[in-house]
Amino acid sequence: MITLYPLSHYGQERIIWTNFQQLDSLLSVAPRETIIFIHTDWCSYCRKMEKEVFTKKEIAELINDNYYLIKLDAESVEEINFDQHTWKPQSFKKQTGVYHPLASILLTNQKMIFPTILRYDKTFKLKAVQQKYLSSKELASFLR
Amino acid sequence: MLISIYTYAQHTLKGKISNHEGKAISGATISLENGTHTTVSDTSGNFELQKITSQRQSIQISAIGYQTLKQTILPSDTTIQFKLNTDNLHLNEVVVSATRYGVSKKEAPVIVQVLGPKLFQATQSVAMSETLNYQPGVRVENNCQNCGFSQVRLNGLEGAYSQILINSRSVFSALNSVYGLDQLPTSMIDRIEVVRSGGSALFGANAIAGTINIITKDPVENDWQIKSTNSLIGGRSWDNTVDFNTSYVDEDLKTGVTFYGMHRNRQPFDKNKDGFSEITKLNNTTFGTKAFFKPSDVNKITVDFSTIQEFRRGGDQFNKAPHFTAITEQLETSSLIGGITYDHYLSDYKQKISVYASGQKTTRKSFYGGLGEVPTATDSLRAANSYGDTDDVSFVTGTQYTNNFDEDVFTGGIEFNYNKTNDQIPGYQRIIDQKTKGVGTYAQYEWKPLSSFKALIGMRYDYIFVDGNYQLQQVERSSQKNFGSWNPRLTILYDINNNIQFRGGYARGFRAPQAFNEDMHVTSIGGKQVFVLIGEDLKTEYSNAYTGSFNLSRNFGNTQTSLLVEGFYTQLNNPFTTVLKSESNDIMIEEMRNGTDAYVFGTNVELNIAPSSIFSLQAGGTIQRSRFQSEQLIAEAKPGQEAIMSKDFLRTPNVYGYLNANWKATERFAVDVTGVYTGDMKISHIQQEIMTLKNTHDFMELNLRLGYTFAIHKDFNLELFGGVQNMFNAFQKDFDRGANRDSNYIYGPTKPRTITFGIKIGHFH
Repeated sequence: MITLYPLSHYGQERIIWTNFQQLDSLLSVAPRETIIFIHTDWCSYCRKMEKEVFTKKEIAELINDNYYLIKLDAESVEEINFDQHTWKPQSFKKQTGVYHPLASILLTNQKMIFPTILRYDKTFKLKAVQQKYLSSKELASFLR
Repeated sequence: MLISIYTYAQHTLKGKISNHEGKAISGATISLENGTHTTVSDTSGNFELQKITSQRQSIQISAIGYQTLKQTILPSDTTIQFKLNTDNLHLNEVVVSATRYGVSKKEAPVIVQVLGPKLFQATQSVAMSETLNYQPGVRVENNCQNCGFSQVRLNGLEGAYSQILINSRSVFSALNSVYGLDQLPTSMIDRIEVVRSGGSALFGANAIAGTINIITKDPVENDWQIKSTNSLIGGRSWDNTVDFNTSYVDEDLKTGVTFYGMHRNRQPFDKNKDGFSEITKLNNTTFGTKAFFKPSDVNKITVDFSTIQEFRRGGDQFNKAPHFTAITEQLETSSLIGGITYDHYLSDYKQKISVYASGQKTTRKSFYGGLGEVPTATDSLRAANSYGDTDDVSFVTGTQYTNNFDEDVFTGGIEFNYNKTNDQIPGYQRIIDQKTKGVGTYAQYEWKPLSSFKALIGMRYDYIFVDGNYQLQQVERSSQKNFGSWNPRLTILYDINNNIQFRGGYARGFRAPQAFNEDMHVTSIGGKQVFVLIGEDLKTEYSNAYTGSFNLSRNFGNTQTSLLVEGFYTQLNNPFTTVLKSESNDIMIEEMRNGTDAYVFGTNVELNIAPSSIFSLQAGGTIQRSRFQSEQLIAEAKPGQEAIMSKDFLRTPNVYGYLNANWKATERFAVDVTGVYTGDMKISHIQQEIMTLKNTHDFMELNLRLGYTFAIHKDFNLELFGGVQNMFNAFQKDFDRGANRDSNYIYGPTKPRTITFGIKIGHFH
């Protein structure tokens, strides 16, 4: 599988979101820490983070240089392939409070509150969790 | 010292949480009521609580989007399956008014009804007055054809018995409440919380019938929206409104601001084509803002400000200056309302101190008068002098302290309020010059000794100064009173079982003798102006209000239902009433006096059904009686007319109700059907200066709205909406004709069949 992920870039400001499908190959070719941003449709703080925090130049640069960034809709009704497994949703109709199995697994032992930002090391072991809105300053210090 | 050597045995409790269809719910919070054990369910919905004491205790399970489940577990329970039901009725919504700080609606000891943006939309309301009918026990009606003066009546008591708050502050003075309900655009309102009955004496004991708390928007995201609503009233008169709101919050969440505004133009509507309007001409421009700043994580400063400019006119010959017409009531109002609040949190957010100040300044130019049917030179002179000026200022400042103990909450505060009103119509030698000041201090303790029982015990002490001078032609009156009043309040909430909640309460209230909202308004009957004059030796009015209610929530299969049955009884001692005097002058006088003791009692019923997240139905009704203990004088006897007496309150139907049904047919298409039922009522009618009491018939108003949303772009939506209000044209058919009409003879729905359509664009959800 050819990954169209630019592993090097110069002065780029736009943040790069990848997806689970690509993540498997990316991690085997060029391991990095991974950040997963879990959100829902109705979570207004999540929308705000996506629009205003992740788009900030310093954050975009910090993430593009050092991490793989994925967002996951906790109530998604799509099939997701990741880590040699296909995660199928419980139903094809979106409903508040009905979570995608991948989201449930990633949030094992956590409360289902959003936004949740998960940080994994290069071997995909959970390193740190934040379960609230983070401003760009707070996100930067979470990532360092 | 005896050390207990008896310890309970311990065991492990396992369980599984799933929804009604059997699907596992992960991330649900499971906790024991005594707070010792909490855990979270895993991806298969399973959980385990280890080493819990083997005794009978209560367990609570909550998850977003689901109704919270409370259940008793026995020492013998080791594995349990729990089923959670979806929360489509938003029973767990957070409200402020019942206890003056945020609490979940279901946990609030006093019933709080919340009106939110969905209802404003479903009824196509552009101003607050249009939405308040959709609540059990609440009615809004129009009292005057010439000026559209509307009142909100809670549980059958007139407008002046309810306290209107803006962001929990009582800045709405008597003057504001005359026309204020039409002046507040729904675009500035996040939600309205209505608490019926004096159970909410935290906000001022004047709230005998209840409180209406208007809470303005608190933004999170950067949003904007512009909406145009166009209505054709009775097929003839246009009512066009453009409103906008936009909000910005900095990404660090430390600063934020919202702006909102509205511009409205309504043409007058003449139902019976006699040349005199039944619905006024109205121009309104409102602009406001609310901003906050958080210097740190534990403090916050909020500032809000709004300006309202309104022009309204009713009567005939709108193209002429008021003093050349047969009748005109014209009002030009300019109001500024503003406030600032400082909040500070202590001890890990368990304690909070707030300091606040709010104020309002209104100037109003009025014209109440006209040449009448066949004008003489005296009439002309008087008409030219019927212009009036009103200045009104009010101010409130105070501090409040809240302490959240583990289960209990203590709230206390002290508040100072001030109001000065000066209303002058030189042509009639009519002056109202009134100052009221008060200091109030309150304390309330919310006690939760058991998980199923909560009690709210509160007391408020007010010391009031009223200093008013009133003049009408040759008559001069005054009201000078200072006195203190203790007003206790007690409310209890008891969870009889998982499905049934009981609430009961008692509150005391009072109203000091002063000019209330109706007194600032001048009516025209039979070509003469009618003024309200304060009586002599008025005594303070006291009230005792009792309420009891049952709230049943039950799920039938997938359908969430909730039923509220509430009984209320309010007793009024020395209630203020007005009596039409018999003097036959060029003006008529309604004198404000203390009436015989009165009581209002009845039942409110509200039913909520939500079979799914796309369909919901609310319907409710009130059956009540409002009466004096003995026949009360309405109008003095005079030649040709006996004294008019009534035991029942006028303008209060014994039965009224509402309906609100919403269907989200597809993700983009929504259908709303709303309706209001007004039962028959007794009303006075003056023709050729003789008053009679009449019984009106009942009305059923039904409205339909269809809305379709286009998602043009990720950040841009467009909604087209349209529909019919009052589709069966249930509207008064026997309006008086001509200049000598009784402009008070107006009852029932406030507008005839009206077609409404519009468009909304912006970044909204």
